[in-house]
Amino acid sequence: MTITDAFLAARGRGVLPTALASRDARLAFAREVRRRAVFSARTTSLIYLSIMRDAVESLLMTEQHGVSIGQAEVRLRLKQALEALHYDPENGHFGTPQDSTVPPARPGSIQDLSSDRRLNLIIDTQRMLYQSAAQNARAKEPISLRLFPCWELRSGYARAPRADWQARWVKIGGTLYEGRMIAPVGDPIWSRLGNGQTFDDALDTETPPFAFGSTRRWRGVSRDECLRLGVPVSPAPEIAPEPAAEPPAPGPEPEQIAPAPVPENPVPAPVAPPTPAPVAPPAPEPVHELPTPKATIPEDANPTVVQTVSVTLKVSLGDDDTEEAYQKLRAERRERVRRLHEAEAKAA
Amino acid sequence: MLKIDLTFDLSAVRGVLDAALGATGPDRRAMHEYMAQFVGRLTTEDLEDEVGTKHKTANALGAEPTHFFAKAAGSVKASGTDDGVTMTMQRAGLSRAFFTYHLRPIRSRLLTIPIKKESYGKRAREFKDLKWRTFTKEDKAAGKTDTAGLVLGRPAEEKGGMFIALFAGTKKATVPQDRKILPSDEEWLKAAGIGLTAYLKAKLSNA
Repeated sequence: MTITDAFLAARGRGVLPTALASRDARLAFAREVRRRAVFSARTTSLIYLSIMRDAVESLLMTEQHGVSIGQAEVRLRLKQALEALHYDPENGHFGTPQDSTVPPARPGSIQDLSSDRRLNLIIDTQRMLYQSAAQNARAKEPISLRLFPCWELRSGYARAPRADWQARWVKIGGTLYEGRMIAPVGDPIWSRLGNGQTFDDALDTETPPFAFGSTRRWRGVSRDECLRLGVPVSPAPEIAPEPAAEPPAPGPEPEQIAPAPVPENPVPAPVAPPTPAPVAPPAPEPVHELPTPKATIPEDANPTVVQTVSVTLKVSLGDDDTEEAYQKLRAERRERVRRLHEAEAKAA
Repeated sequence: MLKIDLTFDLSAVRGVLDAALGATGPDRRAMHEYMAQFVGRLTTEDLEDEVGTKHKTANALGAEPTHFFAKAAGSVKASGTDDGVTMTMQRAGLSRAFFTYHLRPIRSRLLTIPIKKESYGKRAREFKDLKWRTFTKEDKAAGKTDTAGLVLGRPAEEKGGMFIALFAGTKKATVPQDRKILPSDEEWLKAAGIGLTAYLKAKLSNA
């Protein structure tokens, strides 16, 4: 499932104007209502919410349109909409009757709907919700589950991240493995981490971002790594000739708009680790003769449309220990790029 | 959107596959799916960790990076097909790994290149009341502006004040190819090799 699929699954949502703050909206509207509607705290304009929904769609629906727009373009569209609707954060907001209960917002603050902070929060939250819903659906496919049966919640790119994630994890019954927050794909602990009744800033979602403004994200943990750390995982599914059908598509939910619904957990209860797999045949020497990509692009090509590159690789077997081989590959890549950066800096 | 089709020449491993799997050979789609898992994982984690960028422009301007790569990471999808691995990324900017782009304005006469912390990562249209001006080096030396050349910025509020340039105006710009923003062909190949090994291990453990 791609993020476009995730968005398509969530299409058809209505919009829910509200003068309430996020926390109050959570109390006032049932989870199901919020899941089926686009809303944003203290946003009373039906028109603006509709434009917001469409702008986010444009950001995420690249596969449908073949054209890519970025975060700045979405932010611009929303700013233009707010201006056209005469939005004024300090004096009456949109001027709707419900706005009489909305307190004035300091320009540039997170309460100001037209501030970069607020708009970036909405866009980032939406993007992450749909990306992680798609990621979660793909992770439940048999081959993914066999290779990467667990998620680890890892730090994101936040400049000043929350310091209490491990405390939250322990509070909801999570186990730390060498200080890492790891649990099986589909484990109920993920929805507990995003439960708004437990944490004030939670988004009521079972996928990242679990809390407002969080940039934390999932990373798959390999079966070998889980066994090494002692994480209880279900047995590896049988290898099938064809991948199984995708699980039910996730629906949306909100901050700002909409965390995915909680699908049925397809992962069986944790059991004893499986017997280690047999050793693979000896690997031949890697092949390093690589062709140049076949694709070319004209000088006046539009960088926003779909570009396709085709590469043929002469494949060889990797090391027997797949996780060790993979981590070695990543380390080599980081070192190679570091040297390239250094060389560029010297040349400059 | 960037779409990368990886196809694999299996001649170097044909003997191993035959010995391990017998006459039926591999189930190509399943085998490619295993390869896709590792190719996709390498690409996603590489983008998440922003390995390919040093945020040079943001750092030079003293701005907070936009984290374009980390945000793009979540859009990577790699799938096995009958022919190989297809990997898609929704952010077209990543295609700079393969192509040099020559940009020209479409909706206006000039491209606007952010030159200040305040304008980094933003569109000129996000700002209100900006004006185009052309300044010489002498104007800059005289304190009329902080940047010489054709610029879009904020006029001084008081007479004699300084014009604050936020964007440079240009008729064309080149974004050079930078292959290191994504894993190299060889790195993808190694990741595919790891996936192939995982496939064989899985197949043999089921046998």
